[in-house]
Amino acid sequence: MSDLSEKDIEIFIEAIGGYFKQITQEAASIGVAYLAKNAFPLNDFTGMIRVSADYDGALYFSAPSAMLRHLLTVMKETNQSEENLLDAVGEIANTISGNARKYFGENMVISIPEKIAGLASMLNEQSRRHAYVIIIKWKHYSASLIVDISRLR
Amino acid sequence: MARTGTPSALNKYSGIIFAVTLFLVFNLAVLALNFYTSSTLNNDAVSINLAGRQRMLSQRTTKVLLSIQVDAAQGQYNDKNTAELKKVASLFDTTLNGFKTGGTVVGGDEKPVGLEKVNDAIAVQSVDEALRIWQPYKKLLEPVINSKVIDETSLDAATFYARENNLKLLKLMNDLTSQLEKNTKAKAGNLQLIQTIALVLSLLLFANIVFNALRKLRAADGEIEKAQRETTEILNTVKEGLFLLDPQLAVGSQFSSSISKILQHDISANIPFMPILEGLVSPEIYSSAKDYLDLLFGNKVKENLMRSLNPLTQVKVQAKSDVAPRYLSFQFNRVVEEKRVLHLLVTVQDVTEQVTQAEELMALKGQSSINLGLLSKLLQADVFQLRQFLNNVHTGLEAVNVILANADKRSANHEDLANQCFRIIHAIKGEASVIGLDAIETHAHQFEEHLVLLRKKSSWDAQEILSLPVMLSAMLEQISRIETIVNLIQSHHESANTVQQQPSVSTRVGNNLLRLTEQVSKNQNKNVQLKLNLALLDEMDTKTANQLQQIGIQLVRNGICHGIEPTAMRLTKGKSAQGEISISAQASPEGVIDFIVRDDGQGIVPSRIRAAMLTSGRYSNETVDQLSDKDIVNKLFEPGFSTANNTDKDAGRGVGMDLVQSLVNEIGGELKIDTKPDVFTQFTFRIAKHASPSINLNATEAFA
Repeated sequence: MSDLSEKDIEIFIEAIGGYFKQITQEAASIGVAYLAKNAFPLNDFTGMIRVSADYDGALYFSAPSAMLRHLLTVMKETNQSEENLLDAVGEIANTISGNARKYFGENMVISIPEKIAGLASMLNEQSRRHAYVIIIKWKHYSASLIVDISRLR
Repeated sequence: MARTGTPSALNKYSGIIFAVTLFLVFNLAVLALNFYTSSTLNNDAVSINLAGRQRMLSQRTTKVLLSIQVDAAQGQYNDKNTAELKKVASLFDTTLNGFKTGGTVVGGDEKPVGLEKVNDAIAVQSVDEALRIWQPYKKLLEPVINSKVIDETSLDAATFYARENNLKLLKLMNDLTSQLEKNTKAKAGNLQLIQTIALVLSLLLFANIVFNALRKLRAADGEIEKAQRETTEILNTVKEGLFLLDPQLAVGSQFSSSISKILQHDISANIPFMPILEGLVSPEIYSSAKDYLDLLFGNKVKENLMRSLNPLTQVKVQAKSDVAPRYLSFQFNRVVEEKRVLHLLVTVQDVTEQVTQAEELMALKGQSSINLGLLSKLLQADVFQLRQFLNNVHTGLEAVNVILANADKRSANHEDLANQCFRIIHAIKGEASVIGLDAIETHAHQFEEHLVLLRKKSSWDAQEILSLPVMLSAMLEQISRIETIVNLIQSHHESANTVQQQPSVSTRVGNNLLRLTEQVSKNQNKNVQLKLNLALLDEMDTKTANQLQQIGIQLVRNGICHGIEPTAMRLTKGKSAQGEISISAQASPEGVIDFIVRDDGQGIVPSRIRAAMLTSGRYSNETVDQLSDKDIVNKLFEPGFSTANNTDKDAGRGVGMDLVQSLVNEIGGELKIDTKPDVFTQFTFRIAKHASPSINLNATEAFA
């Protein structure tokens, strides 16, 4: 079992950065990056994709509701129901999986994103001993990208 | 191809040899037959000759007899006639008997000649008939021959008989002659036939020999041609470069077609090899290759003994037309005949792919698994010490992670962040070095180098921010692999009931510092002795003891790298050749504890530090001038300050004193420096009284 490379992780970050830049004309940036064990810094809404084949684990994009509401506003979406907020976080997860598919090819099988509201931060199914936590900043909001993926082959 | 030696050559040509022998024997036999027949013919000629003479003699006898009668009628007697009659009658008689029985008779030249008796039935009959007529004739002639006077009665009787039988006798002698001639003719005909047959047979034999010889020659030529064709095919298809080198180091006439591609040079027969090699390899390798080839052509050293000397076993080459360097492998084998090296068979392979793969594999192994060197270190190391070390590393790396996670919450700038991480990683590196875990030391060193790069930047981009947890993760992975092994070792010890006695803290720290001294002085090529007095550490809590060990590590390292002079310099200063560093923990009667590290090196001399600062190029003249001597010494404790010209694992990062200062601050107390140029430097850490609760007189804390 080995680690993802720096470049592999950047693919996910670039996907998020690119999404915000395209939708809001304002790029998202990285605040901090560190390792997390067991306790993930999850927010109100989380989009999750699972990976398999040569890889194992999952990837989470978790954003606070305020950030998603702001995003919907920028997108001129007035319906800010929980359903729509989940859709927004799901769309970002979708973008990440699209980019990942392009980059990793058939070596990484990627599931359809799951959208979860109020996911517990204590996960008992962590893949890696330490997952990567990357705090993504957009405007004054902070979302987290959690990469809990290990390479099997 | 099979070797052609004498025995097989005999086998190969046995057919031809047999045919030639047969040809000779046959011809000799024919010759012998010829001799025999011609001698028989010779005898036959004598017989024919004498038979012919008998015809003449029969007529002569009659003629002389009639002459004698004519003479007698005239009353005359001529003794000459009588003598001639005697002679011709006797000659006829002996010859006729000769024909009957064989024997010696008088020949035509009055000399004796051998006459064979006749065997042919007709001839025998003629001779017998003639004898039957001759015997009475002879008797009738005898009185005529013997009488010295005219004896008319005898004469008439003889003449009468002669008239009656002369023609019969002539005919019989004629028949004999004809028969003998006929026989001889038949014999000559047979001989001719035999000779013709012999000639034909001999010609056939000869033709057979020629045909066989030609066929064999053609077959041999065909084999040679086939062998040559096969050799050419092999040389055209073989992937390896193959060629022969003669003693003048020129390429032989046959070489594989791939050689030009491998050497990136057009190869032709008799082209000198060395200039081609010269264009491929470095001058050093070229010259040792030349020596090696000379050695191979000399017969003195055994080939297999020399194989390890071959400088071209795996050589990096770059021809003018090569985009990237390649690796070639040359092998040389002697071609020996009669104990003389005629040629060298050279085999060249392009092994670039194998070498690259091996390198990649090595790199991969280094990255992803525990190498054997590390494993053997782990097996040798003290398990308690390893546990302690792993705990410290975990604590340290978790601290780094906390720093990273809180990076944007504090107002701290990136430089501070890098420095904080740096101190922790540096401590891990020091401790890894002390217990000899090179792999972790190297990893920590790489982490440090990365932090040095980041420290210089005012802001970090996404990649740089991300790089830190990635490096941290890699180190954690490495540590966890080591933990797995340590667990295995420990459980093995436990199951085998060979649990090691836990050494005392002072012994452990002492051993670590001794190992460090040995290692760093070896790296720095210095001769250093470490003296220890650390018994007091056994009375402290583990945390403080570890912190003091950390201070010891940094100060011993600095002492060896910057304090202790090289042996030659020490001797010129009148010092002992071996430098000395002493570490002691002492308690005063008042309960004040001093941790002292002292070396008998060159001391801390502000002027030298100033000079080193200028030489390093990192400080301007102005900056250096503005600083007081005290400032200069204080500089030693600033993060990133170093006077070492080169950065290596032991020194040059400029973080050692920074770490010492931060450890002193953590424990609490004050650090004092005493130094005298060219005599000594002493660091005295007086542990603050308020820190005294950390002293535990009954320390038994296990390393969890």
